[in-house]
Amino acid sequence: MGNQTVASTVALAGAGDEAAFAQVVASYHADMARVAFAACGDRELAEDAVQAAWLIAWKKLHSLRDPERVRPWLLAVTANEARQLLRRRHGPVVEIDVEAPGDNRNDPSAGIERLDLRRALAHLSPDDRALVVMHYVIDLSSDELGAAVGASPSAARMRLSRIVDRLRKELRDG
Amino acid sequence: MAERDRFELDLATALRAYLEDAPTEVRPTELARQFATAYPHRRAVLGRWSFGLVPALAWILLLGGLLLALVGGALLVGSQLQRKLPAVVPPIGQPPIGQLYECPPGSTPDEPGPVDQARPAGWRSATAFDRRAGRLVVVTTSDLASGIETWTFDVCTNTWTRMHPNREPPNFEYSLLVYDVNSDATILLSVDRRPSPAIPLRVWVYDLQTDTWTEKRAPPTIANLSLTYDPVSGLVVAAGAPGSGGAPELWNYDVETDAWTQIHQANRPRPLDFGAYAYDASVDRLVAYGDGAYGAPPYETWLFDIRSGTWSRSAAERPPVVGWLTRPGLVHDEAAERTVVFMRSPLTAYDASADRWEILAGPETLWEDPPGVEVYDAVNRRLVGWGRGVVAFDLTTREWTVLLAPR
Repeated sequence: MGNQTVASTVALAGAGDEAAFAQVVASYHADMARVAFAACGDRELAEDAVQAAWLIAWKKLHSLRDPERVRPWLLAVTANEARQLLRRRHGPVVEIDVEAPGDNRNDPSAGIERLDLRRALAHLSPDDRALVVMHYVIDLSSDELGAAVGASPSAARMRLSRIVDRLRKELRDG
Repeated sequence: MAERDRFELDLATALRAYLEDAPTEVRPTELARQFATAYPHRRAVLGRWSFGLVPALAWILLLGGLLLALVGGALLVGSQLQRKLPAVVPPIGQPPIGQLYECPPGSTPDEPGPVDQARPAGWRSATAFDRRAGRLVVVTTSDLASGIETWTFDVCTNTWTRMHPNREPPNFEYSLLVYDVNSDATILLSVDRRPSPAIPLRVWVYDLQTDTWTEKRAPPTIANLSLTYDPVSGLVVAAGAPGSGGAPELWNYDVETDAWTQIHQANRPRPLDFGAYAYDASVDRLVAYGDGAYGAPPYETWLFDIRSGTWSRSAAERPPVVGWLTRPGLVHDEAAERTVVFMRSPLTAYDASADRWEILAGPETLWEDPPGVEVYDAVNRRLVGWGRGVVAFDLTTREWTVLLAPR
């Protein structure tokens, strides 16, 4: 959706227009699911987190200060719901399941093996995993990253840089 | 962002492969229909996500037991339940904020109202507190097809009443309500950002005594509007900015003359997104909370002296609730003399006298999806919020009270 379309659609969805809300869901659900899955490391939990996030969106979309900022807001809500869900289910310390059944797929074209990646991600916090996905998979801008994590764009970049350094160390040197 | 190196490219590729297992499939139309149909009774419809039913029942049983114990205890010691209703303390050197309703003798404002009572079902709403009637005034709407509903909530009996005025304002995208003590009227400012709305802003005035709505003159079109009431001038103050991050514009609204007048500003704060304003009687200033683009830093608190038209920046540490992209709300707690910011949680308060922010308790322990704070109940001197249920928060004791349990 273009910026103008996004603003109009979000405004309509915020006003309770079902078709507009469905359009917002169609546009952002996949990205939200990726963030939730990265944060939770569990498909079912991720589904619940995204569902909870959409419910919040349904109720709160109208209070969005700038409808064009809907994407980082939805991703922030998703990451927050994922974190809360994990805490409720597993307590304060959460690790994703590294040795998932049937997880022996490797893409020979990729320089990082799936199992290694899972192990490395497991050492990050759910928020950090979400941040990595927001940047490297969803391609959020610095402004959007900052908005999604409640920090300035430069602070978000710095945090991301530290996470990547850690991943680099684990995946390249480890 | 800097160009990605080899490792980052590999990382992105590996992440994409890993995220192929993410549950990305969805039926958007069905999901939208499900929410539209289920809210506010979504717990009965959502199946696997309906985890809040048992806590709600547990709360009802617990509160019922506590109520019985309280009544029993009162009978045993031969005394009656009493509630102190101290007078509102006006700001130093200022006239009283206005006549204040007193709960009739025998009222039990701390006891939950009947659970089976009718209550507003809409989820887009605005709330004000009519201090002369001791009632929350609420406008609410659910969808574009239906109109708005006007409800009141009696804070002495904890009961909702659906009002039936002859005509009601049209549907809105979002709206703001403020009670004007001087005119004994509730002002509704509704905003519509939908494509090509006929009128983006509307002003209606509600007279609770006669249960009538009257359309009034709308203010100039300004984004990010916030409404508050200045008890010293007896006028409504509308604040906003012409664009995101623009310098604020402030207007007075006189209900009696139906006139909007721009408030003089001798200086201006630096451009920020000022999402919320509240009149703080303890310092006779408007408290304004602003942040940068995308809800990012800087997070600043500014005070506006309406009498002199001057802005001053608070030196307080940043408020703990930041980075949220939705519009925050501000309300002044007269009893604790704090201005409270409410978004989702945690609840935070600004003490203008001490120039200090602090985190207050959140509502998470009450029940799943609890209501946030909406208004200050001057009669019982506490903050009140409503959603599926109604709760009160006492800023002095920092305790939540359930005024109406969710169904």
